[in-house]
Order: sequence, then C-alpha cells, then structure tokens
Amino acid sequence: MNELRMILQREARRLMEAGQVDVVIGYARGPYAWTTAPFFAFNKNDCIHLTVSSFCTQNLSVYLPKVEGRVAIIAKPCDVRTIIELIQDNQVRRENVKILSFRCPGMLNPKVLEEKGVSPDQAGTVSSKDYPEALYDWCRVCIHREPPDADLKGEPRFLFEKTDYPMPADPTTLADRLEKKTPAERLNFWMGEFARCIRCKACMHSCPVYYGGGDQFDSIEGATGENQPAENFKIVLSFVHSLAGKCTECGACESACPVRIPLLALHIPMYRKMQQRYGGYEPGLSYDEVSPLLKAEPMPQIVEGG
Amino acid sequence: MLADVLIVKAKVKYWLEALLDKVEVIVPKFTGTLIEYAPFRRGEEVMLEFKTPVLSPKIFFFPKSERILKYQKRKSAVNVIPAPVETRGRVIFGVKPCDAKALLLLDKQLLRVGAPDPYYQAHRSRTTLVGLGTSQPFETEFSTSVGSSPFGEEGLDMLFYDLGKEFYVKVLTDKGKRLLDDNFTPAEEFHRKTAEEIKARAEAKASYSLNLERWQKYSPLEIFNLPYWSEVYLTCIECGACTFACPTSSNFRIVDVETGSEGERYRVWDAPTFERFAETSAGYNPRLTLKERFRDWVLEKFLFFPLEHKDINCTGCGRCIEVCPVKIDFRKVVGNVRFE
Amino acid sequence: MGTQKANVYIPDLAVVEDIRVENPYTRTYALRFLDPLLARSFEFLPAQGAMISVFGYGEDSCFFSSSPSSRGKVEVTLPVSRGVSTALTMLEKGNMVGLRAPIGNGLPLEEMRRKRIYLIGHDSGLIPLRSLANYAVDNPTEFERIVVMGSFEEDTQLIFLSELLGVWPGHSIFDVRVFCEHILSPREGIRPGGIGELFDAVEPAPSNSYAVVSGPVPFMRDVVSHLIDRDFRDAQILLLLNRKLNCGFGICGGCKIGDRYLCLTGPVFNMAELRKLPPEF
Repeated sequence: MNELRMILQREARRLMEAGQVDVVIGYARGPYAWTTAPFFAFNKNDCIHLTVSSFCTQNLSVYLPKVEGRVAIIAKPCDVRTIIELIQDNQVRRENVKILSFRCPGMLNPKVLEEKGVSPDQAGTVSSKDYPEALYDWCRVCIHREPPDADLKGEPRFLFEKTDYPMPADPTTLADRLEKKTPAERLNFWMGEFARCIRCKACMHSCPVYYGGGDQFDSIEGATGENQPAENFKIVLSFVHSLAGKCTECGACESACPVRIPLLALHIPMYRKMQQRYGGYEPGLSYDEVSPLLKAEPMPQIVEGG
Repeated sequence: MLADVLIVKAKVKYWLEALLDKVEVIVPKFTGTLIEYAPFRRGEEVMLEFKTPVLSPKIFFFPKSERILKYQKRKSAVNVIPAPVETRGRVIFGVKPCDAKALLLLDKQLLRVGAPDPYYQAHRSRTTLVGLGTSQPFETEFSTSVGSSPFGEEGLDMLFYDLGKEFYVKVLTDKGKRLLDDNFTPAEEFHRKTAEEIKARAEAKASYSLNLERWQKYSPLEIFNLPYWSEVYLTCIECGACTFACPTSSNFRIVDVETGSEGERYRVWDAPTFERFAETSAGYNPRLTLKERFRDWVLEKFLFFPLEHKDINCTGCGRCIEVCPVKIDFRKVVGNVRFE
Repeated sequence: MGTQKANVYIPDLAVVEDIRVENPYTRTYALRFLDPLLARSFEFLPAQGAMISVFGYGEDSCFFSSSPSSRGKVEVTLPVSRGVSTALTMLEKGNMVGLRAPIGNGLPLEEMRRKRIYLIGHDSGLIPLRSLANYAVDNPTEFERIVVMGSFEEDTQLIFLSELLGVWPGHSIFDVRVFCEHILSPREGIRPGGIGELFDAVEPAPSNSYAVVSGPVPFMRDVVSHLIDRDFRDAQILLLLNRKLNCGFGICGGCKIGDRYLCLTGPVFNMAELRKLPPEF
C-alpha cells in the first residue's frame, strides 16, 4: 500500500499547489498501533502526513457537508458511493469536491491479524492479499471494489489490478450465520449485544448519509432502565432501517462502536432485501439513479420469501 | 500499617467463591467481543491478566441509567416512591488503580456537601475495591502525567501485584482487611521489594507528558479564548463515546418513562459534546457550535475542574482515545495547546 | 434551608391551586405544598427558581414569580416551550406537580436595601423580576425606588398586565415604563419602542442603585452596554442567566459556565463576576 500512499500524497499536494482545493480530507496515522485518524490538511506541507492503509475504517465523507470551500477527499469506493448519495441529497456540490479514490483491497480487522501474530509495525503495508481471512464482514461481501467516480489524474485511474485482491474463499458473514438461527435465537443474540450499548450515538454520527443525529436517544422512549437492551435495539434498528436504499455498507458505524456491536449484521440483510425487492438496486453507483424508496411509484409485488 | 500478604494465583478463584456467600463479586470477563466487568459465578475461571476493559467500573457506581423514583397517578393525586438504595455488599476484583482514583474524582462531583447523590453514595459505601496493578495498559495510557499511576493506591482497598505464580497483596484499608481469609499467607520483605520493582517499571512505561505546567502561566480566560480551539475539534463527530467511557465524567439528564398511570424517573448519561446537552427547553443553546462543546469538554477536565477542586479531572486511563471513532488523540489535544 | 434532604432527587408534591393565563404562550401557576409544615416554612428569594416536574414528562427549571413574603403559596410562571411547560398547560386546578426548590442564589436583598432598583426585563425575562417587584409592594420601606423597565417584542406577548398597568404604578415608590417594539392594539401605558427608547425615557442613574437585567442573551448584552454608557459599575449590574438545569445541585454539569454552577452560585451574577468567566454569556 506504500505506492498508493505516495500517489495519493503527491496528488493531494499537486491539488494544493495548483490552488484547486482549500483542504484535503484524508487519513493520518492514528494515536496507537494499527489505527488511522481522519486528518485535515490545510496546506501543502500537511500533505506529508496523509496516509492510507488497510485500517482506514472511517468514512471521511461524513465531514463533507460540514466543511466549507473546495475539498479534496481520500475515499474508499464505498465512501465514494456515499459521496454520490450526498450529492444526490444536495448536501454537497460535485464541483466543490475532488475525489481521490483507488481500487480498494478491503479493510482488515487488526484483532484477527494480532491473533495471527502480525506485528503492528507492518500496519502500513499489510493488505488483504496476505490475510484475506482478516477482512471485515462488509469487505468480505463487497463486490464494488472500484470507485464509481474519481478525480485522480495523471496516474492510472485505478491503482491495482483486480486479480491482486482475490475474493475471500469463505464469504460468509455474521449476518449469514445469524440467518440460519431461529428468530428467537437471533433476538436473544441481539439483546445480548445491545445490553452493552452505551447510547453514545457514535454509529449515527459516523454515518455520512444519516441526518438524524441520534436524537432518539435523547427522547423519553430511549431512556428506560430495565428494558435497556430492547430500547437500544429498537432505536438502532430504526437508524438501520432509515438507511434502506442509502447504506453502502461502508462499515463506518460498526467500526465506530466503542463496545463493538456488529451493526453490519443488521445492514447486510437489509441491503440484500433492498436488492431483491427493487430489481437489484444498489445505492451510490450513479448520479441519476435514486433510491426506489424515494420514487413515487406503486410498490412492487412483494415476492414470497423476500 | 496493615500487613501485606500473598495469594497463589490458583487460589484467587477459591477466595472469590468463598466471598460469594456473603457479597456480590464483580470480575473482569471476556464476553465474546469485549472484556467487561460482570458478576462472578461459582465455578468460573477468573481472568488474572487482561487488557483494561473499555468500560470502567464507573458503570457500577454511576450506571448509564439509574432509577430515581416511581410514581403512581390516581385522579389528581400523585404518589411518589423514591427508588430504594442498594445496600448489599459488593466486591469488585481487578480494578485498575487509575479507575479507583477516578472514583475519588467522581466523589468530588457526586458527593457534594449538602447534596450527595444518594444512589452513588450507597454504591460507594457497599463496595470494596480490589485493585490489580496495570500490567497491560492501553497503549494510550498516560496516567503518570496526571498524577496517578498504574500501581496507584488511592481509593483502593486492596492492591494486587503480579509476581508470576502468586500475587503480592497490599491491604490498604480495614474494608480490604475484612476480605482476607486462609487463602492468603504472610508476605516476606523479598516479595515487597519485587513488587516495588514491578511498580517502578510500569510507571516508567506509562510516562507520557502532557506539559500541563505550561497551562499555569495563563489565566483561564486566556486559555479559553485561544484560537487553538477552533483547530482541534475539526475531526470530532460529536458522539458521546469519550464521555461515556471516561471514568470521571458525571454528566446526566433526568427523564420520565410513563406506562399508563404509573411511571418511573431515571437519571441517564449525557455528554457535553451532544448538541442538546446545554440547550434549554426554550431552545436557547449557549454552546451552539461543536467548537464550543468540544472546548468545554476538554477544559472542564483540565481547567475548570482544577479551579474548583485543585485536581485534574482525568486519570490518564486512555479510554477516550481508545473508544474515539475518529481516534482524536486527547493527549495531543491537551499536551500540544498553542498559546498564541 | 439548612436541613439536608435524604434524597436530593425527590421532589416535594404541590397542588395547583390556580392557573392564570398571562398571554397565549405564558401561564402562571399558583402552587401549595402538600405537606402543610413545608408550605408554612418554605422560604425563597426573588430570582431563585425551582425544578418543576409534571410526572410522565420530566422536570424543567422555572422561576418563582410571586413575592417571597406571601407565605404558604408560591407562584411560578412558565412560557410554553418544549416538554414540561407544555405538559403544564394540560393540568387543571387540583392536579399535582413536583417541586424541588429553592434552586440558585437569588438576589442579594440585604445589599439592595434602601437602593434604587432598576428592573429591566424582556418578555418572559420579567418573570423573576415580578417576584422582587411584588416583594417591594409588600415591603415598600425596603427600597428607595423600584423602576420597572419592561420591554416586549410585541404587545401580544405582554405578561403581568394587571401589575404593570395597575398594581405597581399605584404605589408611590414605583415607576413603571413598558415599551413594545410592535404594537397591534394600542392601549394606555404601553409605548412603542425598544431598549433605546426605554433608556431615554427612564434615564437610569448609577448613584445608590442596582440594575437587575433579565431576558434573552442579545437583550442583556444591549442593556449592559447601555448601562455602562450611563456609568453603571460592573458590581451594580446583576444579570439573571438562563441555562439548562437537570439536577439543580451541581452535579450534572448542564448549567456550568467555566467553574461556576448556575444552580449553586447563579442564576444571579454581577457583571464583574461574569467578566471573569468564559464569554459564553
């Protein structure tokens, strides 16, 4: 990934020097092993801190509506798709954004790597080519590894050949494993998970295409003591469902969760159901196609088993 | 001086099982995804070496939701029943020393003279804290730079030092002494020396400097008005993870939950970074922008709290950095303040 | 209050004895504590407040608007906004609410004795000022003069009309001026104008006087600059701040300004104190 980092740094610097952007939103090294932290480069010298690794789990497009001026943003393909969503929702203007994207090898779970004995010193270079089993669930099922839109110029548009990053041999995710369980078992599983929830709203605030801000947790309904797991589950479920037709499975919410609730096991089935019911619609792949849920058309026939 | 004792690691389990007859016992547990403090049950193995849990023992004293009262409405009359305070004895094993210090800081906020929080007070007095020196701190721990230590004794009733096969146990209070039984044997001078070496080594490891002495040269208002604050908050996404994971934050809201003619009132966690935190019901918000709320969060701990209590409201456990979704390094936020 | 309560979160029950509609958005509730002993012994100062709870809707802070000298019964006035204040409008006479009171420091009555007091309030900012004005009605010898300077956005928002136009002007120590920015239905005693006109009409003088200011933040800023233009010293300007209160005894941090808690050392701050605090006011 070193080469990719150099190219992105160079491109960011070039855009800065040419005065084409006011700020570059990218990743810098995080405060401790494996981590990356979002970073705002305001001048060309800051660009040296920009980095990209297999651990850039945050979705930086969450900052786009907040930042003024012309922005260059380093985005994974799934992040590019949320940028397209934001542009569709009139939150961001395309002409103000330079998208620096790349063919994504998928993001890795450092916990799995640590178990395999990989040293944190390798964080800058390790990729899914070496450890496909460490891929996060959402990267495991991802088939859109090329950004639908990008502004990287002067270099090969996509930096890696598709064959470089084979799909993992075993694409089953937690969502699939849960699917096999009975509804009662599933509910039991989620109650256990949401007993940990501390209502910090990190999932909601890390999502670029969720505009609710987590006020449900401030409401009276979200505050009961004894039914806490159920209440937490209900509120997060409402968050998940409001993203039907918008979620691009970028995984930002799950990786933001301080108590590691596997939220993508809620998002992935919903994403699949959206595809099944609405003729294979996938959000954020083009500027013209809007979510079928936003179209004023009669509901399609719901197919049995959908 | 209370006598120091030893306990063989294998016996810790039996000791805790014996305690179960009298009190509730809380131990760190791996619950599939996380290490959490959870009730100990007979026959379970006890984790004797573990990474600092993401949620501190604060959740047992100042839980994320605590019932304050119950009410019943009958026609126009209302009957209010205060929630009972818990009195059952409780032992928390494996408390990190910085978390025990954090409870002392919470005392300053929640046990205000004349108006102590009765629930917190009850939880405090019923609990005995058995500390375990931090052998595996977060990489982000900076406890020594804010006056606590991975082997600090403040606030603890007992402190365990890991000597390999056995624990060297410092008994610090009478409350701790009451927990001793025949699983413990007297310690020798040699053990005490080894323990001290371990402590010194751990302290050297966690020596990150926040340069807080630089803050002394400036007035609170000068620090408050620094242009620096409009730069550091940028990546914050205004969730409440840092506040909720913080062992010393005590912000809360009070809400009613009604079911029919009955209802309950709860005290639930709130975070200063939330947009609605300081907003009045009439809609006036003194901290409208994230910059103001983020600054308030940091300065409350390192500037305003010290003005009031002569102590920094931080124990350097590093949880805020660990849980932050965008990995804001609060050590740098506080340590790298630009005074210009 | 002296004695420490066993559980600081538990409100004392009070019965709604009367509801008076001040304007479409503001109501005054007369409350009597259920506990007769408490009803007799309860004391408070002007500009102190209470946490009022409507069970099922939660708690909100409010100011006492009645005189502290009227024993047995207290009045609170709330403008209708979110939550509790809306729930209050659904109550009827005889219903019960909870009160945790008094909260805050209140006005320094000892220091204000025999002084000329300017009560400067905007819209619902007049609520706590009414408490002091009514106290002065009951104890006219306490003050040299009470100048009520009421400012309103629109005359539909007028509150305490009977006092502003009837009771207070009838007393010798009172001087009442009411100005409205927009007047829809003119009436005697209400004049058109804003803060500038108000100050031109009254011409407050700093000697032997106190100015008590209450209202929205931009209004208070304007008034403070007017007062300083007229040579008022910082210590003579008392401001009533408005913050969110959750607990009311200095724990939750909702009302904190710098190292001061509004619920403990506020809501009354003099300008000298405020200048030392973060400029959040």
